[in-house]
Amino acid sequence: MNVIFSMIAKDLWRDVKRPWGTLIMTCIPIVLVWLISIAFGSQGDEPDIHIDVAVLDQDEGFFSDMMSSSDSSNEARGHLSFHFVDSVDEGILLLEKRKVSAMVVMPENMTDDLLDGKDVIIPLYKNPAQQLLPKVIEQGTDILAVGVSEVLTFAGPEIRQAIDLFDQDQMPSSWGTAMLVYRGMQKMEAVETYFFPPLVQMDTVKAADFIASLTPAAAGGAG
Amino acid sequence: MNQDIFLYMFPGTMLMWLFFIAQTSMDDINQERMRKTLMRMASAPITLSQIVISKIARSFLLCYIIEAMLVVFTTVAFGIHWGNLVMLIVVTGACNLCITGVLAVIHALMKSKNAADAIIILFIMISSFLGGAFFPYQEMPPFLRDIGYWTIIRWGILCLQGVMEGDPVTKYAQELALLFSAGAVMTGLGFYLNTRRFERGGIV
Repeated sequence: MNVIFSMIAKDLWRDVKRPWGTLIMTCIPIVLVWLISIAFGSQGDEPDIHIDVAVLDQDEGFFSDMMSSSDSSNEARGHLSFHFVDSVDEGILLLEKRKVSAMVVMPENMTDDLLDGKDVIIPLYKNPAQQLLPKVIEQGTDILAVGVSEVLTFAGPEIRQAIDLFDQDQMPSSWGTAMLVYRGMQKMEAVETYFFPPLVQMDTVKAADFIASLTPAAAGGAG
Repeated sequence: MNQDIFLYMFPGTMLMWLFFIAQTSMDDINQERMRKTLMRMASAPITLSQIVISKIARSFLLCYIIEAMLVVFTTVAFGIHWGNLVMLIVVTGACNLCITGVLAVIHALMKSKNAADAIIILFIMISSFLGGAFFPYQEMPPFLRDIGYWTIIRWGILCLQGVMEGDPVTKYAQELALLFSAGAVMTGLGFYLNTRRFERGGIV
């Protein structure tokens, strides 16, 4: 056994005397993981993702106004910026300069066509120099299109009336406003179950109280 | 350093490079044979089995020394939490046994140093890939995951992650048992094959 130990000690001592090869190989996993940690780690902070979108608003209607107002909402402000442009060329220039990840074109009469139930095509120009963010915008546009379509299917006439009402140059009439709200409430009541599903509530009671509530006779006896 | 990324990446990377380090150590048998020092050692009152045992044990201990250095360095430099020290010693011991055993078997089966080097590099790279040292294991297709589970790297990763996360032993007991049993079998086989090879004239 001593022979084995002495041979092991001799070999290990040889490793100690010439350590550089082993030390360099030992450092590699640390360096690799450290680099990966720097590249992909967030150091505990929220990832700083900011999406810039160019918007060409040829519609200038209700839905494009909604989009421009969403840019100024507090939650979106940190992660999403809309850059309104006046022409396709101006938007493409921003794409080429990599100032934006994509350009969304809201076509003429988009709001009217949507309200009339016509098909609307929303052109989307994606920045080919970026991989992820243009896909995020594409997915977001898809979700928005589905959402708008569902809302219009559900309450298209009411939305049309509301837009007409507030587009008037004069003060909306009280009766018209009241009827609009009334019809809107009726629609909401029809889908109340989906908007406000019944919640499961949990409560803590004493075991004695629970048993008493199960057996009225026992409860009566106890009382 | 981010503990989550470290926990996710480091065990696999460490095991892969331990393989390479242990390989340079196990390769010493071939080096000694080529330099004729093995023949000179055999002429001394030392049996061939003692020489083989010393080479395997040296490789095993070198792995432990490297692991100890890595654990101490990452704890001090990056504040990484390695979990229960006793379980860490047990798990790394099981990994080292497997690594040393596999390398001993491959070295015994290959006739030349170059062939052993080539096969070992191929083995390390493929098992690291399948075991999840390069890519996220969960993102791999199911059939690759099924194959990848049966690699030493995968068992080692699961055990080390379990220790680092402070999981109960029962959670990674199967992988630990696989590491120990495979390590014992491979080390025994490697010892037998190397000794037999040298006894049959492979010493020169």
